[in-house]
Amino acid sequence: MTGDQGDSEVTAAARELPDQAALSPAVIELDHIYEVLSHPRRRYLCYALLEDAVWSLHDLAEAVAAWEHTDGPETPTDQRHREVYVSLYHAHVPKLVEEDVLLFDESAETVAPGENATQVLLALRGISTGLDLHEGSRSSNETDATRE
Amino acid sequence: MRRGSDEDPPDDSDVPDVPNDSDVPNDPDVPNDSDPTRSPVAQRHYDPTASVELTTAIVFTVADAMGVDPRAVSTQPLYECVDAEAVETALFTVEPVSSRCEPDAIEFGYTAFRIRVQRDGWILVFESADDSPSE
Repeated sequence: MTGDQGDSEVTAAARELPDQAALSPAVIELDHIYEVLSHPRRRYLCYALLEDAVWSLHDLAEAVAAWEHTDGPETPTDQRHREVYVSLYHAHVPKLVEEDVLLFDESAETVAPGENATQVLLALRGISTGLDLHEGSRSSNETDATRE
Repeated sequence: MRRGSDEDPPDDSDVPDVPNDSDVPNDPDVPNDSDPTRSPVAQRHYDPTASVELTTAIVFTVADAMGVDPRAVSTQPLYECVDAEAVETALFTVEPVSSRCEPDAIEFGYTAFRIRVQRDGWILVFESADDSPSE
């Protein structure tokens, strides 16, 4: 009986969840942030969210293809779009949905930020600022290159 | 897209320039699936050093099998069936670690198909043997 009581006390303590405010910075573990940001296409995806909250998958693929399009124009645009679209739909979007970074509306084919988006975007901003990552300052780099 | 012929043709050195379009149902030069009772409905060669992702290459092969634009392969995201990044790591890791503990191929089901990704870069798409909807 006493043992039972002890157990139930433990259980009660374990069930006492930290409040939302205390939990929020750790909603997504660092590992997950690394995982999310470990692929360049997923970083582009997150950058896109910084620009606009809601994207159609079609436009998103177009934007990512354009951002990646730093080497010569040897691949036709439609081929590029096809490749990016497929990799977003079949790999990167579902992965980010799984990590609660994105919400995907299957019927409308639109993506929007998920619960963990803010945290990932903050991390991404921090990294960009810290490293002056070229992905974050594409346009200014291009301007510089043109000037030189 | 052209296949770079500088890529090491897996084991048999006489693999010619391989066509990557779907109208090559069963080229004898191509892959050596150990099971002779089945032949792929579509196949493509994946180059791990090129910029196209494995996911994309797999879906393009499925699109070949279905005769549609790859963007129309939208029944289900491939990610829900297989983690292609993990397959990539398992089959195409750069360092030649001792090969005995590494798989020669990884196979999985996707919609009505069986997909086999081989270490030599070949992606083979088969009709699923048990694609009857009855449980």
